[in-house]
Amino acid sequence: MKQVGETVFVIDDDESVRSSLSLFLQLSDYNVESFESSEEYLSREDYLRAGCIILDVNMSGKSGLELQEVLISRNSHLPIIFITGYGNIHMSVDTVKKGAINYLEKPFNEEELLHSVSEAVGLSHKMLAEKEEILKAKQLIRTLTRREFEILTFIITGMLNKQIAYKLNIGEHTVKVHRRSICEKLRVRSVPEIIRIADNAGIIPSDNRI
Amino acid sequence: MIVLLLLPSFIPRNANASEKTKTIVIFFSLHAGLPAYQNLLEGFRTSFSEEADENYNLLIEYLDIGRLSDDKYAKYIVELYNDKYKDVDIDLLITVTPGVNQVLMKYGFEALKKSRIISIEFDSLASDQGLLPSENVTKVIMKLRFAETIQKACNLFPLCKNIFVISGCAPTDKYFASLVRAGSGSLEKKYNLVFITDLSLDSTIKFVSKIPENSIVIVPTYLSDKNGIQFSTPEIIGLLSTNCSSPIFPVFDSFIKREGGVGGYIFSFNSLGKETSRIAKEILNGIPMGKIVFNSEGLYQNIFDWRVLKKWGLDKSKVLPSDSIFYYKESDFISEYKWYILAGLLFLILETFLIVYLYKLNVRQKEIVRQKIEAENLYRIIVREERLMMMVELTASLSHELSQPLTAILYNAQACVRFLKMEKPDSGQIEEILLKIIKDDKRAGSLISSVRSLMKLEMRDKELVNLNSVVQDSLVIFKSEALSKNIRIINHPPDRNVFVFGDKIQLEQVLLNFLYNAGHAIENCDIDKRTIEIFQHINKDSVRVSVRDSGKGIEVEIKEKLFKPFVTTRESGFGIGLAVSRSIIENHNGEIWAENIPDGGAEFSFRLKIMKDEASR
Repeated sequence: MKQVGETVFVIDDDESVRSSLSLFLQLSDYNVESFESSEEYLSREDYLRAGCIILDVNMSGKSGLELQEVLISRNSHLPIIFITGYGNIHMSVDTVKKGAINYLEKPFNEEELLHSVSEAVGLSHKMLAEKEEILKAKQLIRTLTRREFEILTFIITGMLNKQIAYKLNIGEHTVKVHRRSICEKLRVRSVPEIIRIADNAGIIPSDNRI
Repeated sequence: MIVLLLLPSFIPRNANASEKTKTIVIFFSLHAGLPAYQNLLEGFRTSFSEEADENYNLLIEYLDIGRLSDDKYAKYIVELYNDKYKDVDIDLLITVTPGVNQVLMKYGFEALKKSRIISIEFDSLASDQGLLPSENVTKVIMKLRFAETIQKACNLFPLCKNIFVISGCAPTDKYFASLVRAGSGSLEKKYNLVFITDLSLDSTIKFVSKIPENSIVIVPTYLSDKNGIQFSTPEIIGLLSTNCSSPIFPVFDSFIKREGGVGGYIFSFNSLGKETSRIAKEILNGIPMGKIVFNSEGLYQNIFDWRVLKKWGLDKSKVLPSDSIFYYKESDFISEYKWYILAGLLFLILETFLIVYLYKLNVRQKEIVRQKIEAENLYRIIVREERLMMMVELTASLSHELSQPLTAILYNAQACVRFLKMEKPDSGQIEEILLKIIKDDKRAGSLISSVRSLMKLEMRDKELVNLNSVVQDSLVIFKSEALSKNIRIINHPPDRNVFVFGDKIQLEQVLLNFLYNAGHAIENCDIDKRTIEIFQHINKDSVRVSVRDSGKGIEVEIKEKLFKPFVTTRESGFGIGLAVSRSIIENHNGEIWAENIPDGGAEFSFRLKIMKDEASR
């Protein structure tokens, strides 16, 4: 099940907790990296593969919640499992709303932890895949000429070639030639496929009404 | 009070009176019940005692010769008097009409020859005249002016047409009636003048009840009626007035007693007594008899019975002479005692205010006491609340702090289990993990025991503690720590010892906590900059102990929660020391705080109330 290179990042200012969790997770076949503070984690170079973060809420320096804010703004693909000594229902709701995958109160049992970690890692795989797809879509789109890109924004609205030709005041045949070229460049055959790539690349369709 | 005021003025008189007590004897011819005599004596006495500057022995005899039926009685009493006064030096003899001189002369009263005499006589009574040897006698002559009396009475009632003169049947009554008649010539021209006499009392009363309007009644004297029954004239006047629709006028002041006679311009026996007294004093002071002049002015006075004036509506009349004297004037009481009444009222008002004030004061004090009790109860509740809050806080902190080692223990143990399931368990690694478990367990254990110590604080007894010895003893304990860290201790002892009420061990614990914190704060400074100073500031009723270090000061973010449990900047320790210190000082009703000092470094202080000050002994 587990793939090589799935890393769990343990961030807790309590040395005992940090080292015991690290040891346990290592024995559960995860790569583990541990950090004493949020700042220490942020100074690490970007990690691009699947994994998750186990984050203590109450830490001196930047707290776990503050770190979560930073990671959201950086579009991190690593889900966060919060751990805390204080049971605080409001805090847990907040963190989960912001994308935390779980909120565990110390001392949490190992099943709970392992379940959360595997769920988080699974999620990170998915997020990573999406991220890659988007990247790929953007790269494909970048190969289009300006005219082709313009015609693409009309295609994804569902317009027929005739309509696009009328709209751009060009010949219908010319639209057909461009459409064939777009399909080749995007390595697709159908309009739905074009739409999926455009969507992944974040292209906004042109308004088809006048 | 009054006695005390008068006393000094009496003392010199008593000293002068060592010479000889002077004896004055007054012989009244008739009986003691005569109103005229009473008024005369009263006037004499008041005037005499007012100015007397020597001791006098005033003796009074009533001859009662009115009842004289034969010479035997007269002879007998004069003999009696001769015997009675045989050894008495009479300095002054006063004889009072009518007929007394005649009797005393006839039966040879010895004292008449030796004594100086004042003879009070009627000008019109023959029996009074010329009997006494004139060289020893000063005569006081009563000149009666009835016509004037009656005319002035008529003036009060301008509508008056009839004058009724009503007399009794006694010789004296008839005598006075004749005197009135003799002087009434001028009146008869203006008024219808009627003389009534020789009636029984019943008939007299019947008569006066039928007197027509616009009349006045004059009663000179009424000593007895036709049936020979003796009366007192003031009583008769009172009796007649109740049955008579016209005003009744007496002619002597002595008849204004019972409510009845109006009064008027009348002969005053009281004034006669005063005049007699004046002459008596002159005689006794040795002024020759020839040079003594009797002054008859003032014997007639305007005297009115206020009660009767009111009855006739004359109390506010402008007809009344300005020098009038009013007897029985009720308002006298109020005007005479005006200041006493005012003072009394004032006193009453003040007293009322005082009572109201004291009552309110009492009520307010009760209210204050009630509020104080309420406040104390509230305080107790708040203290309990606060302790509860702290417990809640402590429990939350404790659960957080305990969750850390418990988590660590759990995962280390889980790791151990996994190691043991391996084919070749690494015993070294397992041992390492177990040691970590032990360490975390100990950490949890000591957390619990430190919290326990926090909860136990109140159980200890308190006593008077010398604060300076707390500082000294703490420094002895801290000395080794200071030496090992190269810390310089500067103690600033106070100029005197002060005592607080508390637990010495606990206070030392607070101070040691301050000292260890200070030590930690500066242990990484340069060696020459590691200084801790201890201050004791003694104020009027409180003392402040401060521990100042030369470190970097307290971080702003931690300063707020410095005294809460589990707040620390250090690697080791749980941050419970200052929380315990706070509990201790609050348990001692003191204050605890920390501040950064401008030169850098922190200062931790507590302040306690002084229970005993060496300086104040």
